[in-house]
Formats: sequence, C-alpha cells, structure tokens
Amino acid sequence: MKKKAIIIVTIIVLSIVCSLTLTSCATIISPEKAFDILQKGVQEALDATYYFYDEVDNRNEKESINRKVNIIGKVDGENNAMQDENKEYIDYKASLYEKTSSKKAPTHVLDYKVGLPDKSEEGAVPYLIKRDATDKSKDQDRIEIKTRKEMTTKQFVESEFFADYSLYSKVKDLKMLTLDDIDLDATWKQSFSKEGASFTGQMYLVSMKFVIKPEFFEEHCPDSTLKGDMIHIEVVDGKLNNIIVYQYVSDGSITTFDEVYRFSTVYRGPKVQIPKLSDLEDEKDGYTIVESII
Amino acid sequence: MNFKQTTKKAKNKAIYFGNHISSHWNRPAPGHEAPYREVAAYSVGGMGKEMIMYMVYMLALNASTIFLGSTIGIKPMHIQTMYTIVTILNVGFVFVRAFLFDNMRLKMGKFRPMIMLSAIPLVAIIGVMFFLEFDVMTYKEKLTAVIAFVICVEFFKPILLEAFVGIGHVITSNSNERTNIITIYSIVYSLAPTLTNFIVPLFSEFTGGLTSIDTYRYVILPMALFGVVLSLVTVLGTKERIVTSRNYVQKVNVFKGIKEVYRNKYWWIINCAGWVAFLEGAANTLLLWMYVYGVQDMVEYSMVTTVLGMSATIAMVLTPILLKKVGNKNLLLLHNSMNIVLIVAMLFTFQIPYLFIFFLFFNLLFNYLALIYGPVIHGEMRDYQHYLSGKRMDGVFGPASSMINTPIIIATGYIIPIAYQSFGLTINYNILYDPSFRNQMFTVLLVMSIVGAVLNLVPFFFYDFPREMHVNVVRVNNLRAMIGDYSDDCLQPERIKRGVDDHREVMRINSIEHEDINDLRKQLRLLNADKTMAKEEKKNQSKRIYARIATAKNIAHKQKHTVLYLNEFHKFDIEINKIKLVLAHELCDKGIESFSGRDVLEMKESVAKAVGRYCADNCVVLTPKEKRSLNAQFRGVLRSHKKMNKVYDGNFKRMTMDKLNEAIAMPETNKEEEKARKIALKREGSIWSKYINITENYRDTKMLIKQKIAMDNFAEIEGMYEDSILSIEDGKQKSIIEEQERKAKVLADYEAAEKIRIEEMPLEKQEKYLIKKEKQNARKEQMQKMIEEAVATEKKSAEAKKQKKLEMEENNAKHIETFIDQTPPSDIKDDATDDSKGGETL
Repeated sequence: MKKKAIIIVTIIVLSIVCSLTLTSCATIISPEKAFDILQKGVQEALDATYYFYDEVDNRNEKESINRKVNIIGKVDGENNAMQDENKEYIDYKASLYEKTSSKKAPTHVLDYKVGLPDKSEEGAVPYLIKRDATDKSKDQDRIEIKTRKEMTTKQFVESEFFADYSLYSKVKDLKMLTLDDIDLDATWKQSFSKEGASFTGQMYLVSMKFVIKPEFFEEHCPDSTLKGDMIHIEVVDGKLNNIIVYQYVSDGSITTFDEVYRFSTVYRGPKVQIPKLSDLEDEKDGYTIVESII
Repeated sequence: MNFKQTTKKAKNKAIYFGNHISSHWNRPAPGHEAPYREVAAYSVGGMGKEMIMYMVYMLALNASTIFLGSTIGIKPMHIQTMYTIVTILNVGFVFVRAFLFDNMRLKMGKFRPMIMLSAIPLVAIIGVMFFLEFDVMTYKEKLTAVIAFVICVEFFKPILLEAFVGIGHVITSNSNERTNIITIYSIVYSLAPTLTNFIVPLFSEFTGGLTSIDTYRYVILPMALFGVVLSLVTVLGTKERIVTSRNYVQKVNVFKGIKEVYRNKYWWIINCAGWVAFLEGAANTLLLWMYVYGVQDMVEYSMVTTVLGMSATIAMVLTPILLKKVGNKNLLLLHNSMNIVLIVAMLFTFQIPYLFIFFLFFNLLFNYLALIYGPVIHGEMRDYQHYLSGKRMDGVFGPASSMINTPIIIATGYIIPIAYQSFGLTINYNILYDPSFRNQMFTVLLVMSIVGAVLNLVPFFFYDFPREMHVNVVRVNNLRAMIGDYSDDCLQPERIKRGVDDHREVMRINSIEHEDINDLRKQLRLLNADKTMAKEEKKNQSKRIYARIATAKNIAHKQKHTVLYLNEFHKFDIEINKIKLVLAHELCDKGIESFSGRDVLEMKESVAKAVGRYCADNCVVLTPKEKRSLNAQFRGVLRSHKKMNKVYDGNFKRMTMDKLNEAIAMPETNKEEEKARKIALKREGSIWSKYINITENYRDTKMLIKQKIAMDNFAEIEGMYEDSILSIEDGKQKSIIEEQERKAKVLADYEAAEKIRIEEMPLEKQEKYLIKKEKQNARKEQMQKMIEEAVATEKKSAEAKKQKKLEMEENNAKHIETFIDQTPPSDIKDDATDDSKGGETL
C-alpha cells in the first residue's frame, strides 16, 4: 500500500511540475505586439552606453568574419553608467576583436584594447594597444605587429574608425523596419518542414521569424547585414538579444538553408584587461609606439 | 593523554604501517593476492582516469555545460535532444561494449587493454574537437560537429570507466582485500578532482576564462594527456586475477529478476527520490556562473572550489558517525531537510558571494554524506531483495532501473532547458554578464532547487528500514543459506558458526523481558508532579527512569525486528506453507523423472485432492491471497513440466554436473587443448544452463521439502557447532604455522645465497662488506626493535579496546537484569491518565 502511495504521490507531483513547465512554453503573440517589443528593444540598444556584441558573418563564401566588441565601465546598483566630476565614465574601457578566416588566405586577427590598466598609478594616461596578427602560410611566417598610442576610450569610441563597429551601426537598420516591410505570407523550408512567419512569447523571451521584403533594402539600406531569405530575432526581457539571418546557399547541385549571419548582444560584457604600461615598454614584448593606429 | 604520548602513538602507528607496506611492496601480504605496488599503480591510474574524465565532462550533455553552451553556443534544448539521442544509441552501444569486453581475448587481460583502447581515442577525439574553429561556424555546422563528437565520446567513455571498475574486481579474488584496495583507490583518485578544480580555473585566468576555447586547448587538453600517461601506470603495473569457479552458480532470469525487484519497496523509494533529483540540481551551476559572469576572477574561483572540496572530506569522516548515531532513515531526512534550509538561505544571499559560498559549503557537505551512506543504503536494499526473493541478484538492478528510469529521466531532462529557454537563455550565454538577467535566473533556479529538495524529501518519509531490521534480514539470508547447504550436504564450519550464533542471539534477545515503557513514562510524570521531593533527588530519579526507558525501548526495538527471523524459522508452522509442502510432496516425492512423465490432468486432480484433504482435516479456509500464492506455485511447476516434455520429448533424464566438471578439468597446456577445452566448456555449459532453466520451478518446489527436513533437524546442525569452532581454530593455527614456515624458508635461502656470495668475494672487499653488513644488521636490529615495539603497542591497544567492549557488554547485561528485578517505587501513585498511545509497547 505504502509503495503505491509513494508512486502515486511522486507521479502527481511530477505531472504538476511538468505541466507547470510546459505551460510556460511558447504562446503565439500578434505581429503588432511583437514589433512593438522589438522596436523598444532596438531603441534600448541604440541608447546603450556599455555593451558587448558577438557577430559572425558567413555571407561571403570565401571568408568568414567574427567580431567581438566590448565597451565597459563602472555601474551603480541600478546598472547605470557612473561618471566622475568631469562627466567622464569611470573605468571606461573598450575592446575590439576581429578575426577573418579565409579559405585562400591565412587567418588574420585584429585586436584593439583601450583604457587604463587596473590599479594604475595616479596621473597615468590611458592608451590604445593594437595587435595585428597573420597566421603562418606557405609563402610567409606568422606575422604579429604590436603597436600602442596614448588615447582615451572616449576618443576611440567616438572615432570614425569605430563607427562601423558600434552597436548603433549594427542595429540601426532594424530601427527603420516596420510591419509593412514584412512579408507575412512568405514561407521557407527548414529541415523537414515548411514554415512561415511566427511571433511567439515565452515568459521573458519573445522570438520572431519572418521574411523582409526586398523593397525595404532597396529603399533604406542596400548593404544591410539583415539581408537574407529569413530572419530570426530574439528579444529577452525587453532587450534585443539575438539576430540570425538565414539564406538559401547553393553549392553546385545542393541547396541548403543556412545561417549566414549571427549577431548576439548584451548590455554588460566580460572584463577588459589592459596590460600595464611597464609590461608594454619591455622590448621583448614587442610593442612599438606609433603616431596613428586607427 | 599528553602530547608526548600522542606523538609516540602516532609514530608507532606510522612505523607499523610503513614496515607493513615496504615489506609487502612487491610481495603480497599473507592472505592477500595483490602487492602494494599494484595497489599504488591502480590508484595512480585512477587519478589519470579522473583527469581524462574532467575533460570528458566538459562535453556533458546538460544545459549548464559551459563548453557546449557558453563557448560553442548550443541551445539548451538542443543539448537535451542530443542527450536523448545518445541515451537511445547507448542501448545499442551497451551490447557492442559487452561484446568487446567478453570477446577480446588479449594477452594483457580483459580490462587493462581496454584502458589504452579507450583513454587514447577519448583524448584524441576531444582534442580534435577543441581545435575546431567554432567561432566562424554556422549553428547547423556546430550542431553537426558537436553531435558527431559527443556520440564518439559516449561510446568510449563507459569503456574507460568500466575498465577501471573491472580491474578493481579482478585485481584480487579476496573480497576483504578488494574492499580495502577500492577504499585506498577511492581516496587516492579523489585527489585528482581536487587538483584539477584548483588548477584549471587558475590557469584559465591566462587563457581568457572558462568560456574561452583557449582554456580547453591549452589547459584542459594537456592535463588530460598527462592523465593518459598516469592511466598507463595502471595498465603496466597491475595484474588481473580472474578465478573460474568450479561450482555452478545459479543463473537468475533477467525478466523474472526485474519482476522481483519491482516488489521491493525500498528500491521504489530510492528511485522515486532519484526522479525528482534533477530539480534539486538546478542550482548546481550557480557558483560557476557567479564567477565566470559575475565576479570574473578565476583565481579566486579555484581557491573557492578547493575550500568547497574540503566539505567532501569532512562529510566522509562524519557519515559513519552520523549513521551510527541517528540511523539511516533519520540521516536521509536530515540530509534532505538541511538541503531545503540551506538552499533557502542561498536564495536570500546569492548577491553576497561569500555568504552564498558559506551556505553552499554546508549544502555540499550534506550532499556528500550520500557518497558514503548511498552505497550503504543500496547494499541494505539489495540484502532486503535477497530476503524477499530468496536469491542474490545484483545484476538485475541495472536493467530494472533503466527500464523505469530512462524514459522518466529523458522526459524530465527537458524541464530545466525549457526553463532556460523561457528566460531567454538560448544561444547567447553572454546574456549572463547582465547582472539583472543573472539575478532573475539565479532566483528561478534556486526556487526550482527548493521545490526539488522538498520533493526529494517526500519519498524518504516512507523509508522504514532501520539497522536492526537489516541485521535480521541478513540473519534470515544466513539461515536460508545454512539450511540450503545442509540439504545439499555441503555445510561448512564457518556457515554453521554464523547460523547458530545468529539463532542463539535471536533467542537470547527474545528471552529478555523488558519493563513496560508506558508504566515508566507514568512514573516519570508522577515524579515531575511531585513537589515535595528535593530537586537533586528528583533529578537523579528522573535520570534513572530515562535510562530505564532507553533500555526498555532498545530491547523492544530489537525484539520487534527479530520477528523477521522467527517468522522464517517457524515458517512451516504457517498454514499456507504447510499446504505448499503438501503440494510439493504430491508432485516431487517420486523424483524428477517420474514427474516429467506424469499427465497434467492427473497431476491437477491429485494436487487438488491432497490440498482439499489437508484443508478438510485441519479445518483450514484459504484466503484469496493464499489461494493466489498456491496457484502461482502450482503453475510454476506445471511450466517446468511443459518445458521438460517440449525440450526432451518424453526422454527426460536427471542430469548431474559431472560432464561440466570434466570439461572444467580438461588440460590446457597448448593451443589445441585450450581450444578443445573452450569448445567443451561452451557445449556442456549450455546443456547444463538449459537443464537448470527448465527445472528451476520444480527444484524450487522440491527445495521446500528439503528445507522442512533441515528445519526439523536444526538440533543436529546446532550439535555440529562445537566441532565447527574447533575446526575454524585449527584452520587459523595451521595458516599461521604455514606462514611462519614460509618466512623461515625464505630467510634460510637468502642466508645461504649470501654466504656463497661473501665467500666468492676478494678478501679486502669481504672485510669491507662484512663491516658494512654489521652496521646494516645493527640498524636493522634497531629498526626491528622499533617495529616490534610498535606491533606490540598496536596489539595491546587492540586488546584493550576489545576488553573495554566486553566490559561494556557485561555492564549492559547487568543493567538489564537489575531493571528486570526492580519493582516500581511504592510511593508513586498510579493515578495518571495513560496518554502514551502509539508508544513502544509490545
């Protein structure tokens, strides 16, 4: 009797837990509501002072690019960027990493870090360091050039060079997107089934999959990274989180529906560790002081 | 004891153990098979295995795996789907692995080559995987690569684990020695996780943290390669000692066994608790996330994990004490209730890392208690199964559990990934850097953990298997074994001693009369109500009454559980067993050949008549449950009859093990003979196995008659007790003398060889050598003296302990006798109301 009681109690409890979890599964939401959430998320991204993003671009068949950009500083208890008496962000640092892998050329890495090292002495000046490395190939040995230049994080972030890497440049196209630019009747074949536009909500996650009409790109942004046969966007807790672009890719006789572009962002990133100046002056470390890096 | 004495004692112990280990480094100790060199090789290899497994666990298929989730970016739901695929594939892999283990006849043995054949591919596969360019792959490419590698890893991983477990089983055939070896092995290999948990996060600080693939490439992979080197120490430094039994061991039908296991209440309780354990584990990943995404200081993390690792050592020391003090059920309840309390505390403190770690330390400490009490409880549950089904069937627990648990684990495994996904943790684990998101996630996971801990606690309220019950379960199993051996005429002195000792102990316990606990409680209440008595006197009297209550409770508790033994001992006094005996006599009295030739209808009629006659003569009315039990037994025997006629086509003949024994005894000096023996063994083994399977139900029924005869002749078995004691003592003396003779012979041989060597030396060298030798001998003598002193002290302390125990037992017995003689004090009026319903009255 007791044995049966145990089994019954456990099964009931398990079923309650399972059903509670399953009820939190995706529910369909209207495109209007989904778009409203998306636009708020995009606006928040455009306003972000600190952020981290990771981007993989496989659109070009011959090469693939991975970028990681991180801008970070001290925040208060409510997660707002803290400023000093001169209205400068405290512990303001940035990093930019770009890796280009190519079928025909050796892998190339660009790595920038800017800011003051942790626990640096009073009066120390922030600087930008750059590492430019090209892998070994048939024709040449591995090349690594390390350079540095005095520069503040603000100067780096506000520079023309960085403009193309900023979060703003990555999400600005989405800001222009309206519900009219979406082809709600379009379908695509994914794995074994045929799918169409979908807008779902699941507690903190809003997920949307749709096709953007070609006219949108023609009118607003011909070189947009969002260009593709289907786009999948995830907004988490009202913040833009992931953008994935799929495209039909033909490789001779086989056509596949592939992920060609992936962009993930968050408003806090990992620590940026700037090497101490004393380490950089060591000749063995190979850093040279230059007039211009970017 | 002062410091000097303690130091001397510790020194003595160290000398004693040091001498023991060094003298048996290459040559096994008396009564042992494996020298300490092999134990060391096995343990060091175990550390290597743990280092490899550290890397393998990086590919563990659960939603919180940092490598698969954060580094590569696989969705939690897809990780869980991979787990489902791998679990299903594993069903097939099990057979392939079983085939490999049983059929690869390599010269090195059965398990040792398997270490090489699994460790090297495992590290190679995962090493290649670490060097893939995941950061530029599409999601589909990543998913395909990961699943391919994970499948390969899941194939090889169990081979490595099974090989190490297998070596533990075959390094010696001596059961006690095996237990000691496995204990040493466990202690040594557990150093490896402590080391890796410290080193990896520490070095990861230079490679970009645990989310960076460089940590896997340049820290974890070299460590695993070192692990391969260490595991080769086991391959090269150990021997496999597989002993082929000359006696046939009865096979247990897997499906019948599984059916039997499902009757075991305690198996269900342990499994039910396991079904909900996944929820409790939801918060397991929090510390790692806290440091990877929050604190971002892997040096501190490595220190923290090392400190947290200490909780395991404390738990290992505490568990035996707690088990003894509170018993297994209370320990289970304590562990699971403390988990709830501590996880609740963690929920309110996770934003203050050090406070969170403080509570986590105690949470881990309580969880680690299960490392020791888990196997104890499983062992007791298996003994109970032996008692329930009358057969020892350890092998069927695995299939029984997987049949029930696998679908449940697969289904419930999706709950945590669904929770992750609902909160937005899909492919972008970097979202955990966001403190507001991380805090929400932590809250949810801790709440899930609390729910899991509460659910985990519920089944253990039904666990009622105290130590005394287990003692009696083992006594019943011993009694059955003794009765079985008596019936088969192969009773050994050790078996007689144990069986009769058990029987006498049960009878002694039952002969003790204890005081009425309710009366004693009444006395206590009246004493407390008495305001005239002096405070000191009152205190002393109540202390005495409490002691009497404790003694009475203890006796009552012991007597309560001896019922199991007494029921078994008097089982033929129960009507249903008497009727089963009538059935057995009716079917089996004329022998198995006659049984196989009987007509089914005639058998049915004759059994019905005999049972009916017995019931009428003894005015017995069978309950429906008894009828079902009787029918089941009869159907079982009929099944045997049907099989006999089907397989042997009316030509059934009783078989003996002679032919199988002949095959076992065949010579195997060359390859031809080896082959011939193998073929003969296979043929005869199969014939015998078939015979045993077909006649199983008949033999079970026949066993009832034999058991009855043996029980009736229990006095005869008791009569053999004194001779058995003498025989055991003789055996011990003989082995001591043999060991002494062996040692003397070795010494004499060595001295003779030494003498010849010295004589052959040039005179000058001889002198130098003799002086050196003299010095050596003096040192040796001094050392020997110290060793003898240490051994004598050890012996003395062991004897003192024994003496103390005996004195305590005597005092206890006197205590009980005094209480029995005592009458309640006359000055306490018996006018209190009895409110002790549900007390321990017998």
